[in-house]
Amino acid sequence: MPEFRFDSFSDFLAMGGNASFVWGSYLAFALVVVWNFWQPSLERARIVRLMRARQGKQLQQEATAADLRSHQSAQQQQGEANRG
Amino acid sequence: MWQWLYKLGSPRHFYEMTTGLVPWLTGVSLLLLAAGVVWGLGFAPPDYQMGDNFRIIYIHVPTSMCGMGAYVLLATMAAMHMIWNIKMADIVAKVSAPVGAAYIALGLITGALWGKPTWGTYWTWDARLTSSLILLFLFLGVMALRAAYDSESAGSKAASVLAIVGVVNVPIIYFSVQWWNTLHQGTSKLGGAGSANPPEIWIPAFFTGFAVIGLFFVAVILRSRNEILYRERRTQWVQDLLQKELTHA
Repeated sequence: MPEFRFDSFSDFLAMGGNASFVWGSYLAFALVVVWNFWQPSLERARIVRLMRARQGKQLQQEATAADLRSHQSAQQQQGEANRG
Repeated sequence: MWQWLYKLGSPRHFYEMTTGLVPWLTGVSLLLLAAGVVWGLGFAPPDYQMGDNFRIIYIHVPTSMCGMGAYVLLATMAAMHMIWNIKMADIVAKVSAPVGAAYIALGLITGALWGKPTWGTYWTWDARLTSSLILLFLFLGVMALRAAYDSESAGSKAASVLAIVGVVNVPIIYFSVQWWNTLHQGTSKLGGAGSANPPEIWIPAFFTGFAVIGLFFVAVILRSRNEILYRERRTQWVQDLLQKELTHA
């Protein structure tokens, strides 16, 4: 079983006087690890949002088209009634 | 085996096959990483010359090597895309560039942070350092070239050509410490028989090494899955998949 190489926790944080270099390296790595999970989850949410918006737009267009059709047919009926 | 590989070339199969793989690969990689980092930072004996500075090795070596490996993957996928026109190869080529760039950048940053207390300088125009910096620029160049075209297929072709040409830099990095008189040390045997290192030094290095590679593939797979969803957004299977997800949410 390997033994802990530092006398105390503050000794561990000090890294033999090289704290900024050692911890800086590990921090930079941690940032990349987090980014590698974060970026894909943001991107996925963006794609889902995009598709949902497109779907909503499609439904709206269909509704507008249907609305127009019914409006037109109503006008037609009215026109026929006027003629008659 | 061939059928399996052939299936992996189809975006839909790639997506379906990686769904169950991602949590496993993530879990194993993070466990290995935790074990390697705790061991490397707290339990590995300090180096007799560099003291505690040497603990940077557990990040520096795996990220640099994985950055080089990422470029080889990028170039291989670019070649497969150019020769056989495999859609999935283009997707992996596209997404491995930013991940590889981040890894080689980490190799350069941790190298600078190690160089300052050890060599007395953050940077020197040493062959190993310079060729690694060129690798970072190659990654960025491949990404920029792809983004510079309005047409997706034109961009992917241009980026593929640059990626394939640039692979010549990888053996230059690897052999730079032998070919030139560099400040950067040569490759030494990390562990096993014939290594000067005791197991309590090299075992955590293998842990972080496999963890870094595992996390690289997790990142590439996650990004590939997004790229698949986007490129195949008009197909029925993607619409059904997202529909199912939206009703569950």
